[in-house]
Amino acid sequence: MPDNQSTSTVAVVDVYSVNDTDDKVTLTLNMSDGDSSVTNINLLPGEPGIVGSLTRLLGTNKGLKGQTLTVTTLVIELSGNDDTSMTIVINGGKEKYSHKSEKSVIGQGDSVLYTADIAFI
Amino acid sequence: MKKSVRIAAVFLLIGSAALGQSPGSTDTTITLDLLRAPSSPAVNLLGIAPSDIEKPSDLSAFRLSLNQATNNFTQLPKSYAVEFNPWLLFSDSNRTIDRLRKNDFVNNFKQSFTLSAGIRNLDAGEEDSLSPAKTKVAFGFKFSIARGTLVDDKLLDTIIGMQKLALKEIQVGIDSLISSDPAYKSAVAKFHSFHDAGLNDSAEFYQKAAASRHEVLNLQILDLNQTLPLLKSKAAGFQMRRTGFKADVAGGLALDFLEERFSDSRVAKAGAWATAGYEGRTGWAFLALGRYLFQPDKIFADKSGTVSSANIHTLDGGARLIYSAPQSRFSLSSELIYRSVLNKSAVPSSWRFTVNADYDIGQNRKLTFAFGRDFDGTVSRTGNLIAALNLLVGFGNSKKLQ
Repeated sequence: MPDNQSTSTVAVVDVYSVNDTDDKVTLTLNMSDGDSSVTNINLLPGEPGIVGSLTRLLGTNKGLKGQTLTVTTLVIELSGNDDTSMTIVINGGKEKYSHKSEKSVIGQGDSVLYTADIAFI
Repeated sequence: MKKSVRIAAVFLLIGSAALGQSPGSTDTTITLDLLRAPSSPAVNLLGIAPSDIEKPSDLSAFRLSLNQATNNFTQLPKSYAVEFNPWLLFSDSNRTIDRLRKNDFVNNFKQSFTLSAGIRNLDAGEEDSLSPAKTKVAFGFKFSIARGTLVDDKLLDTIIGMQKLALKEIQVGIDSLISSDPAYKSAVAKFHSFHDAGLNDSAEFYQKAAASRHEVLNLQILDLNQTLPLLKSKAAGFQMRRTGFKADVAGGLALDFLEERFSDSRVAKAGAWATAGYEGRTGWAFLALGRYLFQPDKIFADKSGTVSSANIHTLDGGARLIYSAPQSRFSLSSELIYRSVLNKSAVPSSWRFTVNADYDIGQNRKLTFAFGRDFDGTVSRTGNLIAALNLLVGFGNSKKLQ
């Protein structure tokens, strides 16, 4: 955590196995209750700054192979419980992927930058 | 202030209606809050302590809770109660702030709907005459129709706007660092070449390189960002308080299984609660409550407590009006309670009405007024019109009198 203790980061780096079909792959981000979040997704360049939890179609298995999904989310703690989280769920590939990242902060108004780099292999 | 004086004058006129009535005081142990819906209707009907309610937040926790209560699904639990929101338990979260701020029915329902269920197996001697079965099961629900709007709704817009700006700046920083970071570019290139070559360790190599990049670079970018400190100061003052129209509904049903067979059950108790109110931003608040009960533990309208509640249907209700603005010298609270038995004339319906008002005239002096009609029809006050206005005088420096 930086010196001012009000910002922190959580990084997820992983891989997701896709196949050679045209089946669709979807991404779901579930953010912590009562907090405010804004998200950028590199595979959705036309939708900068998505507010809150989301579900989006990323593409087909075949089309995503070899690409990297980068999610950048800024969460502001507003609920007063000092806990933030981001759950990533990817469906449609070889298996369902789910990963929950959590970070506690010192107080309301503190921010957490969640980043996720997921390579489709 | 003139408005407050006018309001006070209106209540003085109401007080004049009390002239000629005998002095007395209303029973303050009975309040409108007695009619409020229980936090968990099913559990309330079963008589299980609220602290014993399981509140699983996900399916795994629910499964574990059931497993423990049923001894690994081999027997019915002796006493078990659970309460959950199906949308939160079985699907995605719906409670991020952008959804919590909405006040439409669908969002309100999904976020507030809770189901409660419970089972209780009594030991010999614990049964009562109204509900003689040893096995009791109850179901309940609760949800909000309207929850009001956030007082800090505009502040939330500002926070989200600043958040978008901060993320945009952070994204530019990350993109810039990635494009100028030879180590990261090399790692990604190697990942793809390994992947194209079908090497199994490509994923692991990529993970290490990218994780290292995140650890170091993200912190640098956040440290340099100028928007985040301003955002922190704005967000720290945000409050979730809501004002406006609010309405909640709750209900529950308790069943007796007389011979401990699912085919032989009867309704032991039932209840329905409705709450509606309006909370204004200027200090006015209005609340109305309604409650229906079948075979209640105690009949609200029966003061003596001697009437059996077997097959009794009761309907109780009430309303409360409060004015208490921080900068106002005048404050008011008024309460009406009505209680009745629907299907037994032996217990007459009755109602109570109370008004309490006070006006701070400064210099530690407060003019107070109280007036009420009790359930038995007695009108209460502390004397004639003049005596009904009490003057409270405090000593010392000027301070707010409670």
